[in-house]
Amino acid sequence: MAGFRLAVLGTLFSTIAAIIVFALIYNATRIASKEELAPIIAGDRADVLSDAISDRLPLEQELRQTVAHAPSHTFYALLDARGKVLFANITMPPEPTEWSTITRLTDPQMPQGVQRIDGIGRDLPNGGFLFIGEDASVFAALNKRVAVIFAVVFSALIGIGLLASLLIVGHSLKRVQAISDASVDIMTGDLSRRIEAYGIDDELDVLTEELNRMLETIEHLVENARQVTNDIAHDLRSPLVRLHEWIKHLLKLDAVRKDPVLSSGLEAALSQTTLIISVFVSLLRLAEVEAGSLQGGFTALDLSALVTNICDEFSAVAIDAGQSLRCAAEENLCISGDSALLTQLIVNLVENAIRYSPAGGIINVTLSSDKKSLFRLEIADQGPGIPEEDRDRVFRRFVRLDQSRNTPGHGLGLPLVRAIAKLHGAQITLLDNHPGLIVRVEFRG
Amino acid sequence: MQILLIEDDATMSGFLKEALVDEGHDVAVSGDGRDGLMLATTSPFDVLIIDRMLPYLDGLSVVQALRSMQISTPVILLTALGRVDERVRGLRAGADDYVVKPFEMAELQARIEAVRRRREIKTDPSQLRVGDLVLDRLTHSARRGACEISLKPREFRLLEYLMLHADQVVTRTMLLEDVWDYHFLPQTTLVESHICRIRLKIDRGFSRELIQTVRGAGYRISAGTDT
Repeated sequence: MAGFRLAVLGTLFSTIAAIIVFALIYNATRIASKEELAPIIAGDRADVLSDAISDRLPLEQELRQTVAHAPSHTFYALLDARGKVLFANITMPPEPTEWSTITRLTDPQMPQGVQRIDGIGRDLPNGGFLFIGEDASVFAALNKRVAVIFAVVFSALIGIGLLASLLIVGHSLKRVQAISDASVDIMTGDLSRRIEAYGIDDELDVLTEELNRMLETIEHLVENARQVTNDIAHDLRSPLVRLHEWIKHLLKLDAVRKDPVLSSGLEAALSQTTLIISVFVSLLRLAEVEAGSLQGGFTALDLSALVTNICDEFSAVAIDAGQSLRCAAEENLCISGDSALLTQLIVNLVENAIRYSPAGGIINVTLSSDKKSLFRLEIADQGPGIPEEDRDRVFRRFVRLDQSRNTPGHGLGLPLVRAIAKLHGAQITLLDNHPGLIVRVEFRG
Repeated sequence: MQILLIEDDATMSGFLKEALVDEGHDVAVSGDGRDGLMLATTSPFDVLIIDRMLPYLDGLSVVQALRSMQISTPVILLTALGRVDERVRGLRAGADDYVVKPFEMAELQARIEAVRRRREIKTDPSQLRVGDLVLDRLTHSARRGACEISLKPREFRLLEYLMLHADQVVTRTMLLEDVWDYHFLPQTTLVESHICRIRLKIDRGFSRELIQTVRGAGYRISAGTDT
């Protein structure tokens, strides 16, 4: 609706401009009438005044005679010094000392055939006041014609203008919408997304280009940051493995074995290097999946069988943990994907459900499809769940909700799950199981 | 066993050689791919342990060169690269196994044992036997003594793998990779839970336990140990 608002606003501005033009034209005819009629009126005034003197008649009688003898295009209104009307065949305008216009609207008694009278009044030497008006119907007609032409041209203009601006604005808005759509995609993590330029080099295209350049820079920076992390993980791997081997070597020495302080210290150091290496392994694995190069290994695979098999494998684990793992998978749902990665995705989610569920908890794994060939995998547990405000956060690297860090894991599991899902074009949502967590993964079939 | 270790990292090869010698192997060490390839082609070895990244000629090329020369000595590739596709590429090049650094010596030892035995067993028997436990690979049935044992498909695969490696240690990682085809470490007791179920089925009620847990290494199925 913004487009319509803009179009109306544009039309409003052109209407105001048109009204100003019209007022200027109207004023021009008024000036023309004054220039033409004012000298005539001045002549009339001189004539009636001198005629009254030469006829030795009071001015009102002289006027009456003039009007009676020659019903002309000239009209009079005469007042005495006290303002009393002595003679009038028109109604005096409100400000008679100014150039005035009388129309049928202000003077209904105007004679037939006369549309407008323009005139001006002057004080008389005896203290009276004489207003003289001339028939200005010509100018009224002119004004009327101008008004008609103007109305026709103007409505055409407004119509075309409104239509054109609706089209232009609509078009621009469509492009703005495209920019906004792209922004949403980018915000949801697709940093490689670009806005399409229209190819006409206008302001929006320039803006598009600038935004794309900005995105290029941002993508570059993010890529750099990621690359640095991965490089560190990669480059530190060999020295860490060496460190690990050194510690193992020391632990085998007799001198160390006999010294409980030394050996327990080295055991601790060994377990820490193991932890660091496993973080790096996860980090590199995540980087590998995020790089998207694994898509080449996609094959058609039976998601239903994959889910059912993993449930079979882990129901034993759940039973040993005092839980119950239930699986309801619709059969023969096939997608294109990497079976090793999808296995890891499902195993990761099922293991999370087992690890966070209490004894006696029920874990429900369901796989279903809808008509739009959207396959929905849900893993629902009865664990503590994830507060709504943390549901976005848990997909970031190294984010762990359990601040105590007593539970194993280093906050790279869910990022990996999401990266695998993204590689497969699947959408992940976390929902509330009241109590517990539902992880929903939606695949396009 | 005669083992050739091709590894450019002096620290790693030093420790590794020491550990292998401790296990009772004869170990020759080479520091680069070219030299290593020459050694492997000229002297007989039981097992070759080759690092993935080597100067002059990388580990993958060494394996490919060996296989193209019809030298079928078992090869275990060592790598610091944990990439999923690296493993597949290594096996495709002709390596017999692939171990990611860092690893426990028990892990490498179990795999050395496994690759060497795999070469020795030329035939693929339809029946596996450990003591009085018999596994029929055609009918997917198992029997211990006179007792029929029913196994789920995964339990069958697991027992089959253990029995194919009878009297050898198989590690948790080997089981995950070869039985489950999982190339990541699960965070739960997946392997333990399944081993436990097989144990209940084949060992409960018998005086001799066939499946043993080897501390710090893995599991072994063997008829030779009394409990």
